[in-house]
Amino acid sequence: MIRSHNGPQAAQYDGAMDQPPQVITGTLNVNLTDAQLFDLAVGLGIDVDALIAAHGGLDEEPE
Amino acid sequence: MASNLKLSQTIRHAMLNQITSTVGGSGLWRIYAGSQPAGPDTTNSATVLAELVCGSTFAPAASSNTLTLNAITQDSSANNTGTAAWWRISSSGSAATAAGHIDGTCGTSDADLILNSTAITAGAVVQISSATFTAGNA
Repeated sequence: MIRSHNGPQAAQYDGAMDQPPQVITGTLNVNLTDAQLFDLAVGLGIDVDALIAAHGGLDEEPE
Repeated sequence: MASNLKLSQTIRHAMLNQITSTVGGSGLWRIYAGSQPAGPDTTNSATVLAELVCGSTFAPAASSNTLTLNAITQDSSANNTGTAAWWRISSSGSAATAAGHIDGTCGTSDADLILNSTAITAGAVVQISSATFTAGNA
């Protein structure tokens, strides 16, 4: 038996649906040399001399 | 003779951890259009495209010569439309024009902060999924 649907009609798609927001994704993977790290520390206002002294000084260059 | 500066891991960690101390809790990570200033000590008048918030603790203690930032809260609605060119990390409450602590470049490659697109539209979601500072010549 064929049944007919007598309920309300589904809403018509009008083609004006909202677009999902743009998603920008970033990653940071900075590789600092010791010299850059040194500069960064100075830029941050760190007393580098005191920091180095407090942690045993710089490595010695091999003879 | 050319410089051949070498730091011990202890000093590297101390320097990396000082970034956490200096930025403080809930630091601001802003992405700007336009030319990158000379450095984070300089003010700027660039257009802010997005503003993200770093963790209440910037990062746990450095380990294996690497400082890995805690989760960064995304900007769920970018401030302006423009091309992302550079970024600045500042302390919480700092004005967008004020000096900060760390500046870097933005790009889709060969940049400090790699984005999937530098074309940011106002209202876009902007997120930084991971961020590390590594003492490279360890």
